[in-house]
Amino acid sequence: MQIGQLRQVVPDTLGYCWGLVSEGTPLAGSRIAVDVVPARIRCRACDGVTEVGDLPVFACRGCGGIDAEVISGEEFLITSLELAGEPAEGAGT
Amino acid sequence: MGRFHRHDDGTAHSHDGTGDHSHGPGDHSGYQTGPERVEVLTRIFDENDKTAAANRDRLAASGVCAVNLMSSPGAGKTTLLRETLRRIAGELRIGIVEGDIETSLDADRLAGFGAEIALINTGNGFGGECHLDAPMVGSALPRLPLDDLDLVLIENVGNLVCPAEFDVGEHARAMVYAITEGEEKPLKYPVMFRSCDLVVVNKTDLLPYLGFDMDGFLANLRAVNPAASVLQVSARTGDGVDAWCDWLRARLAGARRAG
Repeated sequence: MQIGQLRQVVPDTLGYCWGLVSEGTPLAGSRIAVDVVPARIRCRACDGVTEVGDLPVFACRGCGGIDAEVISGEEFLITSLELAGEPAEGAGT
Repeated sequence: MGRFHRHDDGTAHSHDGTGDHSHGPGDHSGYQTGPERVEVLTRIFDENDKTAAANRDRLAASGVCAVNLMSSPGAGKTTLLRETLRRIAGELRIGIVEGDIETSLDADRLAGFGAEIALINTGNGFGGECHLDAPMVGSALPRLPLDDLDLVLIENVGNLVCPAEFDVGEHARAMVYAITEGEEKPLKYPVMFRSCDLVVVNKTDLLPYLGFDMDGFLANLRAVNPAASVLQVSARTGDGVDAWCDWLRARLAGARRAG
């Protein structure tokens, strides 16, 4: 999964809860691997890209401009599944 | 994207099967029980966002503008709504979606002021959802006479975290922030403050007693959301409430132009 820094999702908590809800299901024992995506903004004035960092200040570090678009950090995505076990009959190799 | 696969020796890689490669498909002797990676791209919020879009369409079809009103518990959403109804319920036809974990106390406080009210209790026993999502709001809309309304005000569950994540189908987002909460709140809850078109700074009647640093608060708000409009209001005394009503009228006019 990809979880952006601007999503209020705590990866460790998500993994813990996944373990609880998947217990007793065919997905028991599966786990979630999370890539945390840092928040970045692009300044509309100078086109500079700023990594937001720990303090949530959304101003351009280059020119101080405050008109900026968020270009990463809002992801909350499943990007791939790693499957184990017997593939379905006729699924091929 | 190549096909990912794993070999008996534990190595794994991707290839599309056409390039120069030292093994043929017959080498995948351990494949049947090995892991296989499937590339997908699924937005977790897809279902919610689809329902939100459907809600927005339903509102637009009736010419209704919806505003999602969020805040921490006790910031003054319900008092602001009551004062809003006092001023514009005779001019605009208003529906309220009232979200609360428990009780109809807020809905009761708003009864008798000329609005149609649909209550959503998110609780199941004590405790419950800490936010409204699009399916919840979608279930409340049929309980409002949308064709006879101009404005739907959605009073979200008091919480500065989760409500910010869920599009419920609104046309605009406003939050009520009370000066009793402290100047640093935009930095502590940036996602909420960033998600809003308007921040209503409430309880300004307490300014003489609190030593509240308004400039410091506004600087913090600008750091996380430079584009937000700000209105200073005391819902209790009514100070500034007319400007908030003007903001609502402008949102309605904008939604009708867009719709």
